[in-house]
Amino acid sequence: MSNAPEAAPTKDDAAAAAPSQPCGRGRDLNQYKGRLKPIWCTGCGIFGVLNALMRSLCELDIDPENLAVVSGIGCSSRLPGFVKCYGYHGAHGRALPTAIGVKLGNPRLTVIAAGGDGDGLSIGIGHFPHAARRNLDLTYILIDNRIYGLTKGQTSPTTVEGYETKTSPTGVIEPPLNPVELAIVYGATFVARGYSAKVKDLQNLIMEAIRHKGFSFVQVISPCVTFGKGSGFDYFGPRIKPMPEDHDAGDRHAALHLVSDTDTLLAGIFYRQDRPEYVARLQARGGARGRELDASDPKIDTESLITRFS
Amino acid sequence: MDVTDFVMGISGDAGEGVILTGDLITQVAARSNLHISSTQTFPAEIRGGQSYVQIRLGIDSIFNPGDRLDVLVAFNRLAYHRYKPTIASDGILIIDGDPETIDMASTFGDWRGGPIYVIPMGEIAAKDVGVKRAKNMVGLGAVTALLGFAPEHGEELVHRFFAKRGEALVEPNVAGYRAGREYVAKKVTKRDHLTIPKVSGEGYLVLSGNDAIALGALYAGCRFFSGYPITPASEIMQLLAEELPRVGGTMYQAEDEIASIAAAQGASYAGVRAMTATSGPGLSLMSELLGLSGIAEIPMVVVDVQRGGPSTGLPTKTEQSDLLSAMYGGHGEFPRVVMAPISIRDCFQVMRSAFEVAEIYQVPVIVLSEQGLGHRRATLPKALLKQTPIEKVTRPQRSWGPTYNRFEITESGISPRAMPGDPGGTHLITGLEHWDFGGPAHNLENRTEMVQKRFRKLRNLDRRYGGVFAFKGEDATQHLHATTDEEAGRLSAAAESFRGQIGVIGWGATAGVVREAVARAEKRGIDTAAIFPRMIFPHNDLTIRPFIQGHQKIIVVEENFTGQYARVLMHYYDFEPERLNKYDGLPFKPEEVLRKIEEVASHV
Repeated sequence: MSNAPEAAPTKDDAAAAAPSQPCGRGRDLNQYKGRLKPIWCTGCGIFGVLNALMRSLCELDIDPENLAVVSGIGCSSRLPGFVKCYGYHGAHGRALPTAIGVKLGNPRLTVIAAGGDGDGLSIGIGHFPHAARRNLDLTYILIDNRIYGLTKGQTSPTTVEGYETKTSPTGVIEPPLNPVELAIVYGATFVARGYSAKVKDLQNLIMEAIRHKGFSFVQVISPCVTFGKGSGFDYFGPRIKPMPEDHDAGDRHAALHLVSDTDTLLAGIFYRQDRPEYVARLQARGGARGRELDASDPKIDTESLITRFS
Repeated sequence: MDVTDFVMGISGDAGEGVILTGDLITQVAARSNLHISSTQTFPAEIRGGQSYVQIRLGIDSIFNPGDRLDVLVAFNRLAYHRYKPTIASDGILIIDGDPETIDMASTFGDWRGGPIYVIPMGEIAAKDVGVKRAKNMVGLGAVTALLGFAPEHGEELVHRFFAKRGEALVEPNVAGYRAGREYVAKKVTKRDHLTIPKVSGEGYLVLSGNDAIALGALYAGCRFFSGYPITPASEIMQLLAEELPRVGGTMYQAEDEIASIAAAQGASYAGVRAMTATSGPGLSLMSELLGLSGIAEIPMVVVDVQRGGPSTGLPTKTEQSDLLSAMYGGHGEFPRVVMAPISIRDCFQVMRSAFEVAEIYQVPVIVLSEQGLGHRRATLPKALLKQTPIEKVTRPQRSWGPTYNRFEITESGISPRAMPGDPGGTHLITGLEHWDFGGPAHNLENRTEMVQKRFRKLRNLDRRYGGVFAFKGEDATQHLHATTDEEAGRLSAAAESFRGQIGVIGWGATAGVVREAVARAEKRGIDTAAIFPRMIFPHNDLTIRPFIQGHQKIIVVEENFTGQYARVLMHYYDFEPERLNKYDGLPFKPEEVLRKIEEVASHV
C-alpha cells in the first residue's frame, strides 16, 4: 500500500468514483484518468486540453501502458499526472529532448510532450527547432495562455505588446513570438492550432497529430482565468476563426501567409508534409531498436573491433 | 641504453601531421608486440602552434609516457629548440634538414644528447614523392627504419589510414613512407644502440582512454548515447556513433549539453542503459538535471573528460579540477556516485561498475576522466575485447499489480522500477517531492522519509564498490575490491597492512605516474606506498582511514590548484597532508612525484 494518507490529494479514487463514459472501441474514458485529480483553477483552459487529449487517446485505442506523456514545469506541465500513462514531469523547458530520449529508448511507445508557452518558447525554445527538423514521431502540445501562471502572472514570450503583467507593469514593449509560424519555419511536418474551449475540434486536431508519422505540433490557445485579465474566454472567443475551407495544408507559403495575421486566430491544420521519420531512418541503418522486447539484439562484433584497434 | 623501455618525442607545427605520425608509430609498435604509453598535446586551434606526441615503448606493461626523451623527432628547427632540454644524455635526434649543407656545429651547438640524424624529409616529399604534405610519412619511414621495425606493419597502417580518406591519398603517402625507409637504408649509417627488441606474440590493441570508455560502455550494455561535441570528450561520441547502430543502439547528437542529459534520461527511463559524455563546461550545464536523476531516481551515467578550467580555460590540456563539482555541483541534496578510472584499462572496466551502480541504485553516476587519460594511448591485450563478457541489454516486460508504487519505501532504499511498456506499471515520475506512488507531496513526514530513503541507497556502496588500487614495491599492484562483508573485512585488513613512511594518495589518471615514482622511491630506500580509490564518492573510509593512519606522512597528488581531494580527506580526517599540485595543463611526470616523495621523506 501507498504511504500517502487516506486524505491526501488522491490516488485511485478519481477513476473509481466517476460514472462510465464509453468511447472508442469499447473503452471507457475513465481508463485514461490518472491517479491524481487536476489542481488547476476552476475554469482553467487546460481542463479542455486534458479532456480533448483523453478522448483522443481513447478514440485511437492507445493503451495507457504504451503511452508516455512528458512535460516540463508550469501549470500545463502538470498534465502527465492526470492521465493514466507513463508520466514524466521533468525539468523546466526540457520536455522535448526528454520526449525524444523516451521515443528513442522505446520506439513502440506513443510519446506526447506537453507544456506551456514559458516552458516551450522561453527557457526551452532552443530545443524546439531541433525537435521539429529531426521529425521524430511524437506530438508536442503547446498549451499557450500567454502568461506565467504557476509563478503568478509574469510576462511570457507570447504575451502581447501593451499587456500589463507583474513584470511589465507599464505594458509589454516587445512583440510576442508566433509559435505556429516558428513550427512551420523550423520544419515541423504537422502544424495546427486549436482552442481549449472547443474540445471536439481540439480532439480532432490532436487525433490527427498523433496519427501523423513525424513531429506534430499543436498550439492550443488556452486562457488563464486567474492571471489573464482581459484575455479570457471572452477575449479569445470572437477572435478564434475556423481555417478557410480552401486552405491547402500542403502549401507552406499559404500556411505562413495565414499565420502571419495575428488579429484573427485561425484554428485548424496550417501545414502538413510527408517527410521520412527520424527513428525509422535510424532503424533502416540498424540502430534505434530501443528497449528490446524480443531479445534478438545484434551482437557486438568483437573481431572487427580488434582489427580496428590493432 | 635500456632498449626494453625507451621514450620518443615527436614535435612539429600543428598541421605537419605530428599526431598522425605518433599514432602510426604506436600502432606499428603494438603490432610488433611492444607495449606503449603515449600522450599528445596540441593547440586549441586547428592550424598554427606546436603539436607534440610522446611515446614510451617497452616489452613490459607501461603505465605512463615517461620523462626524458631517448629519441626526439623534430619536423622543424623550432620543434628542436623547444624539446631539446628534455633529451636524455645519450638520446638521439632525428630532424628534418639537408645533411649536405647544414652547418652542424652552429645549428646543434647546444645539443646535449647523442647521435644526430639529419634527414631531408621535406625535400624527399617534395622532389621524390611530389607531395610536400607527405613529409610526415617520410619521417615515419625514416624513424621506423632507424629503430629497426620491420617495414610491413607501417606500410599496411599507412595504407589503411589513407584508404579511409580517399584512394588518391594512398599512393603518395605510401610512397613517402617507402622513400623514408629507403633513404635510411641507403644513406644513413646507424650510430646509436637503440634498436627495438624482437618479441613474438599476436600484437596488442592500441586504445585511447576515450576509446576505452566508449568500448567499456558498449560491453556494459549501454545502447543509448547522447552528447554535444566538446574537447576533449568528442572521441567517445564519435566512436559510439559508429558502433552503437551496429548493435541496435542509438547515438544522438543533441543541440546542447542540457538536451544531451535530458535525452539520456528519457532513454534511461524508457528502459535502455544510457549515458552522455562531456567536459567541465558541459557538466556545469547538466548539473540541474543531475538533480532530477537524483530525486526521480532515473539511472544515469555521465562521463566528464576534464580539461583545464574554468570557462573555456585550457580546452586541449589536462586538469583534475571538476572533482568538487562532480561531488557537490547542483542544487539540493541527492545521492550520487563519482568514480575515477586510473588507467586506460580501467577506463574500459569502470564503465561496467558505473552502469551497474546507476541501474541497481537508480542514481546518477559521474565518471571522471581527463584529457591526459582520454587522449593518452596504451596497449592492451586483445583478450580484453575477446573475453570480456557483454552485458545483456534486453529488459523483458514485467507485469505489475494494482498496488505498485514506483517509489516504495524500502529498507535498502531501492524501489521496484517499472518501465514504459510494462503492463500495470503506469506511474508518474516528477522532480517535485512525491509520495511513494509518484504524486507530488508536500507532507513533512513524507519528505523526511523520502530524503532518507534516497540516501539509504548509498549506505553500503563502499563495501561493494569501494575498492582501491594499491601500489607498493616495484611491481606490487593490487586492486582491492570487495563484494561481500567478509571480503570487505579482508580489504580493510589488507589496507592496514600498508604501513610505512610515506603514503601517497591520488585519484584518476595520475596513478600511472605515481606507481612508477613509488617504485623508484622504493629502489632508493624510501618506504613508500600509494593508493587510488576508484569510487571517490561516497567516501571510502574502509581502506583510506587505515592507510592514512599507517603512514608517517601523506602526500596528496592532484592536477589542480586548490587541492580538491586533499580538502575532502581533511574533511573526513583530522590531519594535514602534504600536497603536490600541478595546474599548467600537463600531466605529472614520474620524476616530479619522486622529487616530492624524496623531499617529504627527508623531513620525516
